Amino acid sequence: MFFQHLINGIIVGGIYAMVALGYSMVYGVLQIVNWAHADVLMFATFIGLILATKLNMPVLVMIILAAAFAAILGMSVERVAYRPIKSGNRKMAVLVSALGMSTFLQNLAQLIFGSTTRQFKAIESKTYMVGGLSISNLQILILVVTAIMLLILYILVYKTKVGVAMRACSVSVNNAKLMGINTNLIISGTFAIGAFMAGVAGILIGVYYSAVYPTMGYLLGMKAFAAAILGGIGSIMGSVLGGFIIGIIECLGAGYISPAYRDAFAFLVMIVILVIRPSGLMGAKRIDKV
Amino acid sequence: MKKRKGIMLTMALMTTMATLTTGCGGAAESKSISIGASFPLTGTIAADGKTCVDAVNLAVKQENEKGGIGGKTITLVQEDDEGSPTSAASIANKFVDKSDILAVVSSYNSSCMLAQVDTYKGGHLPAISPVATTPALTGCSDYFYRTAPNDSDCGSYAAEFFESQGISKVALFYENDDYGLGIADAFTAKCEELGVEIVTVQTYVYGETVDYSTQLTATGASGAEAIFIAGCVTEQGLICEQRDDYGCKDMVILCGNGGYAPALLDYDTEGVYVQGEFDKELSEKAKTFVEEFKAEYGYEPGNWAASSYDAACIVIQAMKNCSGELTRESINEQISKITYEGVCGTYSFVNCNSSKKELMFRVENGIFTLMK
Repeated sequence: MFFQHLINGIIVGGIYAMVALGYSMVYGVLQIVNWAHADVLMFATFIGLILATKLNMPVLVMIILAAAFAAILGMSVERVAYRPIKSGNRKMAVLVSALGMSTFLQNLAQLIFGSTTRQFKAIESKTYMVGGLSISNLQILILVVTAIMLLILYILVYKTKVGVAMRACSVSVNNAKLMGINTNLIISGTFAIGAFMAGVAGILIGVYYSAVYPTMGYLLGMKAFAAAILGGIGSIMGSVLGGFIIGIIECLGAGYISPAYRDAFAFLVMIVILVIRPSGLMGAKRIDKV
Repeated sequence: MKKRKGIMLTMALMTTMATLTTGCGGAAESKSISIGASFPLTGTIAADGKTCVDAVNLAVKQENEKGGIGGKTITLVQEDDEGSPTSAASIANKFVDKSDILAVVSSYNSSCMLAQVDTYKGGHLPAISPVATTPALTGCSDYFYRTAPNDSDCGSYAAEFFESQGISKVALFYENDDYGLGIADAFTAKCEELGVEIVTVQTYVYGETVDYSTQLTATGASGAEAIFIAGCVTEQGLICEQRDDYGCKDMVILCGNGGYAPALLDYDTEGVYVQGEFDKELSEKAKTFVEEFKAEYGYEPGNWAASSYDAACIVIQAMKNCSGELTRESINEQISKITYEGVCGTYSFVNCNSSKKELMFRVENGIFTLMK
């Protein structure tokens, strides 16, 4: 049973990791928390649901299109809610704007799609028994897609010129601008990449649980945000690590202690780690100059 | 000068109050009788609240078409309690203060009903709930009745079912609130009595939990032969949907009465047992109700719609039974001694609870089929 809980934990952990990256990358570049991130995820999942059920699209095409929609929505959120007010030192204004955007998207989704939980049966579920453990094709799909997405992101950030520009922005946007980097483009790109990954994660989790609903982003986003903080917000490797830690610990805690406290375990881990290492597991110490 | 102003003000106030009182007296003798209805019409359970209000509206409309009560038409005063006890409590005060409201059909959530019940008692206003199922409401007020089943009956009924099927090891899933706990407690007690072993107890959060991997993994390893789910339809559907992946595929599943709704059929629930209280094939009356409801609103009524319809009809019948003046007191007295043949069966009330029977259904070929 331990290994079965472990598998469950790794799978949700992978999802958390993908969502956490979006929070972390945006924070790395702009030092703001993009609260609307989880709601972009929810919107993309609904779009995926519509593409799959109304237009009968093949799964892979559906995932890519819906995630692309998420990317566009993510960029629009940045353009509408953050860019106009982020000049100067107005972090509080951006924070409030982000919360407003989140509420707006959630209510818009309720208005358009209704508040009931929809089912998402894009893939027929099959279960395989491997050495006493049961694993389904959906779980394998989630693992494979998560691995591919993380690999692509790694190559993008550490092996390409765009990646260098992104990392430069995360050190200092102003200095990056002086070096001739089109920082607005890089910021938009960061939002797009984060939202794309969130879109993929949203669809995978929607299909895995067969549940899509307007508030689905809330708890998922909170856990992913906890993962990003735990790993050290701003650090890509940290977010991935944080996602897996939160996923595995909450599944083991729920399995061995009580499922009623499942969410509490996730946040408890975050608090404990922050007490020991205030900047997260892999976060660099950042000194705020006032 | 100042003193005189004070006197004048007092006089003015008194005149206003006197006018207001007469105003109220006038309203009571008006042509119309009002029934209050408090249900969640916005928020996450808005859809469930709407189906109840639709059913109550249908009952009122049908009565008005027949000419109303003693020539007076019935007006339905609808309020949205949002499923929140705070809103429900203020609505109860509003209903009690409006003297032309003579009876109330309310509410959906047990917690809302608990918040309202003392206010109705204080205002001597009879209230009847189609959906509030918590055992805490049993015998709590002389002015409260319910067409809803009692959770403790549902729990015992489920335990008896497992015993009759020769199942000796069950897993209990319950939603972590009054509703789930009420059923789960009764189920546990009855299982002990009958010698059915509960091998694992799993909980989840209503409206939040979508991932049942840990619960189902534990169940798969526990050696249970069956799962009983005390909760609402979405969660029950999701558990049924996800069970295959965790070695729970061949277990017998029984859903508590929260699952007796068309939404359950959208999930992978073939062969699943469900408790309920309304069988549309039960009687001619039930068949007619289903047809009329469908014609009016374009969708099929479920368990709670039928229960709401009966609740409204009982109020109306009690009003008709009143021989003398129609007051809150006289209506309450009539409800307390009524025997009414509704669409779900025969009702009479003891300690707030109705004598309605629990039924067992099974999902066969995508529809609920009554088990004999």
